[in-house]
Amino acid sequence: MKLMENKSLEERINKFLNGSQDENLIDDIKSRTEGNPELRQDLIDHLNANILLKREGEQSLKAQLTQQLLVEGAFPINQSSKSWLKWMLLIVGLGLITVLSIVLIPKESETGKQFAYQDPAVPNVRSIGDGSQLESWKESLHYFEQKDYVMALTELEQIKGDTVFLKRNGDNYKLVYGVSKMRQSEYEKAIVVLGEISTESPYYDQALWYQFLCAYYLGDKNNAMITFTKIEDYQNHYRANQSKQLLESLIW
Amino acid sequence: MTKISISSDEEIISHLKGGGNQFEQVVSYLNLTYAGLIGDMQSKTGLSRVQAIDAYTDAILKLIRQVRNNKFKGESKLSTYFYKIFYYTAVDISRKKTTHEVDLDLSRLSEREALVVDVLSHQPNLDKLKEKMNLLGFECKSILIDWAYGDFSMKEIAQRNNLKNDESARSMKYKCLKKLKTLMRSQ
Repeated sequence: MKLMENKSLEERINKFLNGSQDENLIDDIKSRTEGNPELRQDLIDHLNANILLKREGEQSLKAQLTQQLLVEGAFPINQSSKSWLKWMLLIVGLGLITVLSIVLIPKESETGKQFAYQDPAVPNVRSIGDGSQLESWKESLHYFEQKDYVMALTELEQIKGDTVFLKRNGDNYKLVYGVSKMRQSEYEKAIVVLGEISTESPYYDQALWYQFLCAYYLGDKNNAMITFTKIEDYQNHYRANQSKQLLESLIW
Repeated sequence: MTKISISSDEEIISHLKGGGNQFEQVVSYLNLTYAGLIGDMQSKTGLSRVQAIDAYTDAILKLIRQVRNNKFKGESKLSTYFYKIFYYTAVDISRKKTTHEVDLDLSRLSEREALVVDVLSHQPNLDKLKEKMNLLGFECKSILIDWAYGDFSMKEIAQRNNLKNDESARSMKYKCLKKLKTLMRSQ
């Protein structure tokens, strides 16, 4: 029995690929293909063809979108060509807002500051808040594991406002956020975020390692040295030897 | 691509998920509506004009993927969500300073596709398969992409590809898919 000749199976597979919630389908596919190498090969071909066509579809759409932008002239207008009056008004407006915000808005206390974070080395969430942003958090970890840092950071941004979540998972969040920034080569920003992880946190050892790596990538000998000292002070740090080797290669 | 007017995020999401002509129209609408961000992103990240467009169109594709795979939960406005994707894509490109292409690796597969591939313990060599795709011919390629990516109905596929009716479209799709699979199996 070939897949192409079995319309209902083909439709079911397509339905599944398009997001059907039928969780039994995988089992169904497995049981159908077991002991039937011809159907199994046919199914693999079908899946490959679908994947390939979707990718081709994306590339074709990307080309169309680019073309549309160029043809419709929906392209970046050089803001510097706008009149000086507009800029003056903008500057005056911003000045007024700044003055008003200093006068009217009370200063945020140190304890009120909440930032973003999770453990890149451990896929499971060690502690999860029950805030509404849990889905975004799980998604960000999923993307992080897939090394898709663009989408990981996008999802992490969704959580930024959830103070309840961040209160419980702040250090986790900072670690994932910081390492994602590092993977995007934003080393300076990564160092700042990772530096906010508490010394009491179970993620502190990793935070030190990634801060050290950032300094290393930046070629910043002083900061690398300072962070290395902290790594040495940390009892049995998991990257002590590696950081020592890297530091030596940086200095010499 | 035709211009349409859209009134809400829900409408956009529904069209993106629905596929077909409405999908194509809403993608075109998004492409033009958010285009004003390109200049802003250029000045923020220092990207060249070509790189900024590259990041922008990549971000549109990512947004489509997220919506179609039900990853966008509506926690923020769609435009805000898009801006974040665009920003991080642009940063990614500006830091790497390389030409960015749409990835063909397995990490880009939808969860379900990846799951099926995983279950079958099979990882396709997409680069090799891509070469085969070029041997398929323009008409077949267009019909199959309309079917697999655009989610066009058979009636719409017939109209777009100058075929007599939905039956001819169905029959052509069947033949083209068979041809593609044969090509994929060869060597």
